[in-house]
Amino acid sequence: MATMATAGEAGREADEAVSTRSPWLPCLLAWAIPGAGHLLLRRTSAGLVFMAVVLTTFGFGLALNGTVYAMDPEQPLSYLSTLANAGVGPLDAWARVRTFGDLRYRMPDSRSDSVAREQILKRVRQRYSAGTHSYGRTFLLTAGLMNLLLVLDVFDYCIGRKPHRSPPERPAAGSS
Amino acid sequence: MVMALHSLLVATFFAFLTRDRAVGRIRVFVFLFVGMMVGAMALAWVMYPYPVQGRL
Repeated sequence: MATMATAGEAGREADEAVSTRSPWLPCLLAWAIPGAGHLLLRRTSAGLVFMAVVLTTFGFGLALNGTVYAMDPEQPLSYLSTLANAGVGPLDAWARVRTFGDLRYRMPDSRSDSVAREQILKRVRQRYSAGTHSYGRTFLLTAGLMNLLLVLDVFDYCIGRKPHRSPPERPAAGSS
Repeated sequence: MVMALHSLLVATFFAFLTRDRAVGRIRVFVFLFVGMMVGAMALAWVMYPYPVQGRL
């Protein structure tokens, strides 16, 4: 019982040790450079691991000839995919230039600008010939989504919703 | 191989995102990595009788 009380106090102290701060700069930094938000919050080991994981995922996505999505009114789900791709930060611009030849976030309309649309689709289809493009596309989407989760995690730390240390684990049932 | 690499990266990410201590991270990593690998194999085995139609 005394152990549980001590553990509870330690958890409360950990919660109280959290200092809230403005989330804008850490969140912006977390989006721009994967893992940098955690580094700013002095979560060094986690930040370095996040940076390595997200950048490795993004790098494999490019190496596997992955393509990014652009918003296409004819395919509404492409809006969500574009958001996921953009989650990786400015690195997304590099992938866009590789995919479309320019920094493009929106596909031309097939009725008003069918020629430009066909040219872009032709360029994208050339990358399909590699055979690994769908794997690469999955890696690129995963990198973007992971970085978006990192931004949300940094936001939670900044507003104090997530303690800097997890509370001590509860003792197993039946133990005194 | 690509699937294993993807599972490895995702499991590492969520292990560090959801746990602060080493033991908890290792547990989450093993659970996610094994779960994704076994789940993918099981799904592939279930889908095996169905032919791929159309162009990939």
